[in-house]
Amino acid sequence: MRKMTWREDWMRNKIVYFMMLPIIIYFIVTKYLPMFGIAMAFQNFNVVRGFFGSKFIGFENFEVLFTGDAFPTAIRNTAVMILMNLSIGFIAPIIFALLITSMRGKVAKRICQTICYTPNFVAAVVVANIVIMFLANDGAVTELLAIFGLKRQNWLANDNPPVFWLINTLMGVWQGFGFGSIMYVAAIHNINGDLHEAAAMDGASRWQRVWRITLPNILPIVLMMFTIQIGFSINMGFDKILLIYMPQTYSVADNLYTYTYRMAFGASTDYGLGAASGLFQSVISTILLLTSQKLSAKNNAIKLF
Amino acid sequence: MPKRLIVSFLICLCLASLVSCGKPKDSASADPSNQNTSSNQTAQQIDTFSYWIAAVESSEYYANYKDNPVLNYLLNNKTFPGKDGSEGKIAFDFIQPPLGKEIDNINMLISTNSYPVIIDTTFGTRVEDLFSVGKVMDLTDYVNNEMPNYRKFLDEHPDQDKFSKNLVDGKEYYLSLPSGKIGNSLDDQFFGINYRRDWIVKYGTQPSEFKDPRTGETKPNPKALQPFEGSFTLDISGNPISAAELADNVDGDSWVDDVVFPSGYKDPKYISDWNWMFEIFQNALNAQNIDDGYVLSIWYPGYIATGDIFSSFGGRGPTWSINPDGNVEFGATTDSMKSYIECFNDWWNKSWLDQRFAERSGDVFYRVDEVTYRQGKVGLWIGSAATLGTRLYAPENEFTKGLVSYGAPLPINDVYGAEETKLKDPYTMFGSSDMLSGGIAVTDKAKDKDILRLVKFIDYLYSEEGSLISTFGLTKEQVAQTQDPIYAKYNVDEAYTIVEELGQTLYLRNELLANDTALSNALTLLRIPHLAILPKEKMQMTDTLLNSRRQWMLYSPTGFLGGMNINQMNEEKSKELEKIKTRIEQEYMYVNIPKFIMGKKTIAADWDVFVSDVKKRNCDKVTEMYDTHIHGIE
Repeated sequence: MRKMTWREDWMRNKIVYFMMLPIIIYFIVTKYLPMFGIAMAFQNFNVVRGFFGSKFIGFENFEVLFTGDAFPTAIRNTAVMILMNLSIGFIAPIIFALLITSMRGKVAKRICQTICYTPNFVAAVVVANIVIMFLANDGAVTELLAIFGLKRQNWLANDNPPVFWLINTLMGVWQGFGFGSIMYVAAIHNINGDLHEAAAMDGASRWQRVWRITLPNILPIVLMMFTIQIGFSINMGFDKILLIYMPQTYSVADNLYTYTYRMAFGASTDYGLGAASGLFQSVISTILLLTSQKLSAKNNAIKLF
Repeated sequence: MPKRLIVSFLICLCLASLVSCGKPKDSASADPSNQNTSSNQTAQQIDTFSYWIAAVESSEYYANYKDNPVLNYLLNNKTFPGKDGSEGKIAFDFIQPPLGKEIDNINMLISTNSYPVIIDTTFGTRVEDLFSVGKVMDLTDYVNNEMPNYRKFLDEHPDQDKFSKNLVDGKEYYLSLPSGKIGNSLDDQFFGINYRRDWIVKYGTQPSEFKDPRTGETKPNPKALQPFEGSFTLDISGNPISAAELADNVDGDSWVDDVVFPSGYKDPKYISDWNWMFEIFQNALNAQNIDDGYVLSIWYPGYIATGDIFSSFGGRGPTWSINPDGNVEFGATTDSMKSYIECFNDWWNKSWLDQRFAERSGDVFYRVDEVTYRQGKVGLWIGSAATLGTRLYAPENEFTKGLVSYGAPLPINDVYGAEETKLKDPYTMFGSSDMLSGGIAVTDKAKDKDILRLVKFIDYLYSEEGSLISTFGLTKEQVAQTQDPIYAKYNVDEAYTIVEELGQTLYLRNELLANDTALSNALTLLRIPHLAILPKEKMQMTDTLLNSRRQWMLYSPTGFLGGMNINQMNEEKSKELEKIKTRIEQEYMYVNIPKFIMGKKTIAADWDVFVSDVKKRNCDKVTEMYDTHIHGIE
């Protein structure tokens, strides 16, 4: 078959190309042009002098960042919280999708889905305040735990044991599991119904059908989402921590995001340090994304790009 | 080929964006300083200056500072000489950033070169940096030659003059015009320590004897172990009454009682007095079955950086402050800190201290755990003048019934720690400082403006007449002349009256303004640089309330370093200083001082490590930098 020339392709698909235009502009303006800001990471950046007038200081900002007292703790906490988000946080939407697609009543299903999607649209500051209230000395969750013999306390102020990690993960799960399940629900609906019908006729139980038919069929989507999740994991949800942590729990709650915020915007504003940390986090994200992509492609021949 | 097309298109798009970014816009719309060019031409003899000013007043009064009554009066009725010698009026076009976004906003204006003629120097970029790139003008000649009132003030207050200068490359300039003060007034110290005087009367008994810890003098108490007595003495109209309960017809500030502390003073002067008082507060909590209350609150993270109760233990401040020799010292590693920790740890162990103080990192410093003390469940708290007397009484909060709160002085330590940390006068409460504050700078956008008229206006606000109207507001005649809608709305027919007392001219504020700080701020010229003459105000308070307020200013704030203009240091030094300070205070002390107070760390086991850790973080370098800087200016 003859390959189309660019002119033929343009004539045939120009509407599609035009449709792409806003997206391209969006990415250029919001994602690529701001990349010039990376230069700040290597400068003693001064708003008055701008990019071209600020002094070049090489890796000094990175040195300040990496030699901070709290940096090792922040790295450890970031890693732990990412792992918990990627395990508990990642599985929750899949389980929810499996459960919701198994529901028979359409109305109940819709109501359930709507209720579970809603937290995704709640602002971070509201979520943080809800968590603060629920986990306070006299909060609803604290009262509930007290019934089971646990000490009545402000759980957010407790750094030993590090319950903060669990709180952070559950906070993310509560807010994201409903909305995060949309992809999986769609993927499950796309599975050929004949497969389930045939399996049922052969005597497969519900669990066996989920295990042998549903999960293998949505696996490509799951792996793709997992790869994306890994890439974004270093930046996800840490803004909420800024709202709920306190010096008493730095040892378990401080992470790269909050640590950088304090260092760069604490006593005075240091754009260079902020940019250095942002760049560092982006590099880590990219490494994680590429590693995950590589592993995924190697084991399952599924590639994100 | 499609790829080439897309790439070409993207390149065009980028170029177009870049070209349009650099394209000069219509100067009138791009530059706020020029926005009023046409109005300048049409309105003769009026010079309009665009002015970036941070919003402070509640929008209940006005949304834009151009509606400030005093400013309106001055702009409509006063003329100022310009560079050609002609008298002319002045006008401002205010640009107000969103609340809480001031720094972002001014930085954005500066980085996009769209800043106005006048900028408030309190926020954002250092004025020295702006000057070094030519964005801010040198006002030195104006200050020295054209501003006689401001110059006179600086000459009479060399301490303030020293910090009003800006050092750029070793040379001194006047780059900004700040607000000055002629001393501290009760209004400056708007917050302090409050305590439940009514609990002492109701749940305490007279000390068995009086002993002043400082002199060692002991006196018998004729009323030993008898119950205290207290009552209100004035009705709401100020007429004397005999003993009465708090009700609608009673002046809540007229409470009088026979409480005398074990040291023999009517106010809790020593830590031993506090301990005696705390035992009574604990009894009060127990007697009323208040489980969720506590004896005393404390500001997170266990100390106030500028001094406060820390200075009760012989030190200056817990971080950096100026000692009596004029040198800078760091307090966290001293014996004073050890005694301070020992005291607070003792109070913690007795469950007197707010058990959640370390969690209150978000509370405002003068409203610590406001919910609990407003419910009447706290014995001693850090509150404001608005919580003194019976002001916390609310019928819906049962524990506020009969509440009478007094202001307490910083106590003198006579109980805890090493001998050298005992019986020393405290030195400050947060808030009071003789330093200059705020300020404006004139940017290069003023090149075509008549700057002389502007500086003459500011200079007028440093004159006797100007400082009076700026500090206290409009007189009866001025209100009648301006017919100001805000004065009319709140039925204020004059902001103050003149009182001659003991050969001194004092100013008695309108009662409504005296009792409503927000309204008072809105009806005066708080935000434009001027000379504040607050100490010339005659306070219209009952003796009881006046005594409470005076307790907060009992000691002179001699070592306060917070108001120092560290911007006078060069950029690298001030940045280095901030970094070390952040590392010591926010990263280390904020975490560890609460641990000492709560007993998670002990003086015996962990003090040496604490000192060594703080020193490792270079606290001495900050001390040295401050010291060098202060002596350098001198």
